[in-house]
Amino acid sequence: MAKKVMAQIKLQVSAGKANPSPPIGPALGQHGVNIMDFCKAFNARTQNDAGMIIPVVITVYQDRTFTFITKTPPASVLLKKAAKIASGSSNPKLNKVAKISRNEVEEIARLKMPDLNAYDLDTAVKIISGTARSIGIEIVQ
Amino acid sequence: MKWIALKIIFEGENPAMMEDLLAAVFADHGISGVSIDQPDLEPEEGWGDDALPKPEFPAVTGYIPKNGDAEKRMDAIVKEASELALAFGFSLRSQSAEIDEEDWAESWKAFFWPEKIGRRIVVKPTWRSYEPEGDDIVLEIDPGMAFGTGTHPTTSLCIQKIEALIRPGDAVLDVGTGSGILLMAAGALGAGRLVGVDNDSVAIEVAAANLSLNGFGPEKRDLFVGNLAEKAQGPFDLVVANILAEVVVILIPDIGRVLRPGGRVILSGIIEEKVPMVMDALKASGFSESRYELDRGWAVCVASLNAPA
Repeated sequence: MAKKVMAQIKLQVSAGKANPSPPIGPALGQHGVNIMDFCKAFNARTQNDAGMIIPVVITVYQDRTFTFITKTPPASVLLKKAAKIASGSSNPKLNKVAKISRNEVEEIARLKMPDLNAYDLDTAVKIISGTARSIGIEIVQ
Repeated sequence: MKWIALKIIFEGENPAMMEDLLAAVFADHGISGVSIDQPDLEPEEGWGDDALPKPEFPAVTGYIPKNGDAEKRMDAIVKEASELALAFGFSLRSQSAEIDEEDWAESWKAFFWPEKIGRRIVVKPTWRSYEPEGDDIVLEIDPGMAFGTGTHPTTSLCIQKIEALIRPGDAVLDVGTGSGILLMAAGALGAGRLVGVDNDSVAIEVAAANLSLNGFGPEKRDLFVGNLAEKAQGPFDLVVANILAEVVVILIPDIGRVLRPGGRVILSGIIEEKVPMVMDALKASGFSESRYELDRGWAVCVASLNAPA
C-alpha cells in the first residue's frame, strides 16, 4: 500500500549548504522529520549547484519518513546571475539596473521549462521576461 | 537563540512570480533561505487521514535572527515587499512571530527510537531505554545538532564495515566525526586509539559528550576541530569518513598519507551515481582492493592502501 502523506513543505535553500538553522529546522522539526538526515541528503544531491538557491518540495509521510524533489532555481536568481547583479531594482518601473539579451532570457526559459506553467518556449520566455522587468532588468535584442 | 519568523501573505494574479520576487527581497536582505506556503501543492500519493490542513493563502516566510537589527531589517523587508505589491497589483499583509531554537531542535526526538544498525551495534537515544540481547553492543547517543543518528543508511553502512574490518588494538581516525557515533562503535569493538576531526566545533562538543557517555573519556580519545591534513598524526590502521563524495575525493590523498601500508579506509556519504568518481580517486592515490556496497541509493566504499613500491 502506498504510504500516506502527512504534509508537504516547500522551501528555498542554498544548494549544498543545508543546515538545521531556519528555514529548515523549524519547517521540518514541527513535522517530526530528522533534520540532519534531510540536510545530509539535500547537500549530497545539490553539491554540484553550490552557490545557487534551490527550491525543494519535501513530502512527509505518516511514519515521519520523507522524500524530496529539487526544482530549478527561481527565475529571479537566474536572471540576476545572468545580468551579474547582486540585487534587483527597488523601483523597477523607473530604475533599470541591468540589461540582458533575448538569447539569455531564452536560455533561462529553457532551463525553467519543467517547473513553469508553460506549454511552449514562447510562453516560458514571456513569463521569464515578466520577472526580468519586475526586478528592473531590461531585455535587449 | 531566538528568531523572528516574518510571514508575508499575498494574493493576486501570478502567485509563482510573486513568490519568486518576495523570496528575492528576503535574499537581498541576507536571508537566503525561506519557507513557502503554496496552497495548490498536491502530493502524487494520497493525503493521509491525519494530514495537516493545507495553507489557505500563498505566503513566503523568512527567519531573522533576533538581535538589535531585527526590527530594522523586518521593516525594510516589509517596505520593499509593499512597493512590489503596489507595482504589480497584488495585495499583501505580513505577520511576525518569535520562535526559539529549542522548539525545533527537540521536536523530532519524539520519533527517534533504539535501533540495531549493525550485526551487534544498537544505537539508543539517551532518552529511551533498551534491554540488550545476546552479544549486543549498545551505544548511547544524543545527536543534538550534529550529524549521525545511526539510522541513516550512510551511518549504518559504515558501522557494518567497521564491524567487519576492525581488529583489536587498531588506531582509528574518523574524519568528519559529527555526533561521534562511528568512533564510539570503533571503540566498543576494541579499537586501541580513537581520533576524530571535524571542521564544525559544535560537532566536536557533541562528539566529546557522546564519547564520554559511552566510557571513552578524554584520556581514551583525541578530538580536534580542523581539517585532517593539519591535525591527525598517523599512522592509522583504519580511517573512516562519512561526509559527501565531493569532500571524500579531496580527502583521499591525505588519508593515504596517514594510513599505514595495508591499512583500510571506509568511505561513505556517497550517492550511487558518484561511486565511480570515488573509486577513481582511490586508485589514483595508491589504494587497491576497492569495493562498494549500496543501501537505499547510498554507497560505502572500502579499500586498502598499497605498500610503497
